[in-house]
Amino acid sequence: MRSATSLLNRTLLLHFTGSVFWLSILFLIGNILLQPLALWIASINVRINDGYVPSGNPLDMMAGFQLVFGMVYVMFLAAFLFGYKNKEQSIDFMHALPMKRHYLLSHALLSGFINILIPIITTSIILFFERHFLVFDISFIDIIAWGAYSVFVLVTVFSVSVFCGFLVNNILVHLQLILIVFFLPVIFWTLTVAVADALFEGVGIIPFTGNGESLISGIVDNTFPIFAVQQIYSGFVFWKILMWSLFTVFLFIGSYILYGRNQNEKVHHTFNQSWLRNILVAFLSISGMLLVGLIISVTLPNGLLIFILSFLFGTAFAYIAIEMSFQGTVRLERNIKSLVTTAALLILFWTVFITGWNQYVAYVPEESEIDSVRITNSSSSSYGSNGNINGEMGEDYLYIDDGEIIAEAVQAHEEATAAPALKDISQGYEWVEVSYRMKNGNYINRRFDDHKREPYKEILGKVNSGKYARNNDVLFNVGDPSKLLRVEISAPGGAVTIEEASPFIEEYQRAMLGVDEDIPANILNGGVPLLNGVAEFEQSYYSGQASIYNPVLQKAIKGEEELAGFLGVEGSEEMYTLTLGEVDRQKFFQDYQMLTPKKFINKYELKVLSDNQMAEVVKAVDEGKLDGRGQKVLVYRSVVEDWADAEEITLSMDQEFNILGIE
Amino acid sequence: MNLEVVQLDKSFTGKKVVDSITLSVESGTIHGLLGSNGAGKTTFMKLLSGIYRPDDGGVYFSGVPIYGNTEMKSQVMFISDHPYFLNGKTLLSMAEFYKAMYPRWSSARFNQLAHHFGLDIHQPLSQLSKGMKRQATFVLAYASRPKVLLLDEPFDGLDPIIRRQVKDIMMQDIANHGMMVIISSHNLREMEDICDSISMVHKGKLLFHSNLDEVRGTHFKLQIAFDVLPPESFFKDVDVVHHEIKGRVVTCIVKGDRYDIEQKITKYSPLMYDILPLSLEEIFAYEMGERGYAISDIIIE
Repeated sequence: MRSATSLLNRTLLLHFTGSVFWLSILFLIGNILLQPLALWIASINVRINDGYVPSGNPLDMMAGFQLVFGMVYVMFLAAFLFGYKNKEQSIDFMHALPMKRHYLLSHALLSGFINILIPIITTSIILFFERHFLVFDISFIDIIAWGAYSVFVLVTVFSVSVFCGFLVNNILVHLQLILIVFFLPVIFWTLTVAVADALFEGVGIIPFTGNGESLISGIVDNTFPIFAVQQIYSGFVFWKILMWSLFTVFLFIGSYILYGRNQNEKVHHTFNQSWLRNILVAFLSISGMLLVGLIISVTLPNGLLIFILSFLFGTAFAYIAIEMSFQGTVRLERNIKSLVTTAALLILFWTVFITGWNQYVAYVPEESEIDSVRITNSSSSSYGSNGNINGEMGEDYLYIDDGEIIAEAVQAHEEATAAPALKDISQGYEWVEVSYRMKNGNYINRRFDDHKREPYKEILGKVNSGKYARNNDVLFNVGDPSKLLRVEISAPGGAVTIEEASPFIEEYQRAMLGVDEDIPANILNGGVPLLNGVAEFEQSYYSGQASIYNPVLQKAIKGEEELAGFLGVEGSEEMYTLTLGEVDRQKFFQDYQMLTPKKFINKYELKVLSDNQMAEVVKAVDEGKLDGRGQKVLVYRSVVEDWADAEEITLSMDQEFNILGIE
Repeated sequence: MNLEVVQLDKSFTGKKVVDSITLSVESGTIHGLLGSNGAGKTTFMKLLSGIYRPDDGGVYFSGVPIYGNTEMKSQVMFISDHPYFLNGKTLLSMAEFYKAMYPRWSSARFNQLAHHFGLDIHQPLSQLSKGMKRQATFVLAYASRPKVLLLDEPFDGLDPIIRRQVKDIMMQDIANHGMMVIISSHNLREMEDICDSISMVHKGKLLFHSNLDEVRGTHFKLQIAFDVLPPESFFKDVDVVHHEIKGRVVTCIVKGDRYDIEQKITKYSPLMYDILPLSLEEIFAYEMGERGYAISDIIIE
């Protein structure tokens, strides 16, 4: 019953709540399956198999799935709660009732909150009792935090879903619009950057080895469904949660304003605001154009005509598909305004796209503003490490602050940008990546394809030097050893795993300060790295160079294997030694990376070692007689040379032979 | 409770559907809203019920605007041409819903009416026939005891017996409680029987608004037999708005005072004449014909 002053009409609330009752039951069951039941099964498995109890919050195991499921539920919840406004008879009936629209909306919203809260609270209560029977340690606070965060996420999605509902008058379009609002920005921008990456030299969506944000991370990280799931695994960022909460409040207020202004008579129109519809059609068409164009132009890379046609076909395809979706029929009505809006935004898009990306790739930072530089290529042994992804490595990892290298990097960059900006995909898939750490703390990353590699060839040889071994050393640069799970070291002849990673790294880092080397690390130019270190953390791992001249590492390897066997010295069928003496070391190491084996061996008149001599070398290596800056070097054929077909590719010396400084 | 509609405007996508309509209806009367298809009657009814917001002008019940006025809307009941009930509801659960919405709700009336019409209050309304749904709508409306009842094509689907009963109950509420009823219908014969006043709309405009007795007193059909057909000046003189000639018999429709008309006719020495009142259907056809909405013959292929 309702009194004149009552804020709540129980019957109306029951009506709204009842209309989505079974949907909320479905959500409750899903929640129970995804949390309490999943935990129960996991707990039983651990007990039966006497398995490993994972560290961290057990609720996080399935929280991602549970949140995604919850977000989908909330979309449907909003769509069905406000479904009455999509049909003439129902909206007329509701609006003929003696109540103001804000009163109706308040009841529908309250019903939505109830249908979000009750399943979450019920699941929390089950978890509260269940935790005592699980092998996992789940605290009361963990359950409260899980419940509170779930409610935050679902209420935020609910606010967006409700707001979207007041822009459209069709349940299917409502659901589409919610997805569009959440994902169109990230899809649109990702496709834009992907097309730029495919077309322009100098663009790299994600820095393969350099630090700094990827070109899409800003928008990906702030796409709410992605952000919501990311938070569980990467930790809560409270200011972002606060911002989203404020946004949620703003959307609820916006919903009241929109509902108050909505015109009943537009119930037969898919969108209440035609300009919004036309803009969405345009942006979705452009996204479709980019997607289809990207696929076709990458699959059939040669020819300007194919390139243009693929984008034209993409636009036409996407436009027709979206109009069908928005008009709810395959027999389309011509919509001149929509067509004009799409055409206008298409022209604007390409104008901004071409101008913007040309400026982006033409930019070379001022040398004076650069703090340090990282130059790497597709042959780098650090490939895939994605730089310092989660900030677990020291700031200097992979970056060189040598003024000479910075100046050369800038010069090489200027030479690279002087060439045409449009990419020729037929050149292959090798690349050079330059990453500047600026003095203001920002990073600037550029990636060039193989044909732009020439200006960088010399500088790549320089940074490959042992002089920068500490910068490239993945173990030396571990920021907080206590967070390490394990360390793995692999070499041509073996692999060693160090489980007690933290004390090992601390010792390794101390010892590294006393190591002096200038032997090329073979981390670039496709050379076979002598050693590959992997530092594994809970959420990430880093792969890169480690120094065999570090006595702590030698000791760790000797504990497991013979050093010569590990390094592939023992078993190598071809070895040379050379006392450098008067030889220009820098030139020698440069030749090692540039010349073919035949030219290199002839130039330095290397004599192949006899079996006895090789045995002596193996013994010396086993005894740890290594010196990173010694006068004598051992050059030996790698035991893992099969990675390249020698008949097709002319290999350089460093690609077939390893080099080791010996005493 | 009186209704005042003042310069009411409503447009859909730039097209005026209700164009500067001004009219008034008194409580305790039945007002018939007539008009061609697409004239804007339903839009007008939705404006009267506060569902649509006027673009301009206003709808006032006892001087109070209806749009957004909860108190006023609780006294105005709109029954649309398609009965609508909340999803999955029975008549009883709909009654509970109405009870919570309309403060003047009478459960005694509801029970009495539901029983009278033989409706199963526990049966889901979606399972009822069109006529039964219509009856259920009237039961809910009458039990809400509105002061104003707005009916859009209300008797469609009702058999003559139920139709009569529904009208009888309506008449009781009008007589006993001063309820105002505004009915939009194309059944002019029925409207003629029950309406106190009518208004006619075409293309959003109000053609006229009048008491039904006044209309009957000003619109006549003349049938005149002449020995020799009168000159053209006859039609101007008598103020004929429409005429047909068959042999020496002239049938005309005239607007004006009956006595004056008779005076003018006799000057032309007719052999005989008869002045007949117009039916509402004839008035409708004549008024619409004046606006180019006349019945035209077509011989199809």
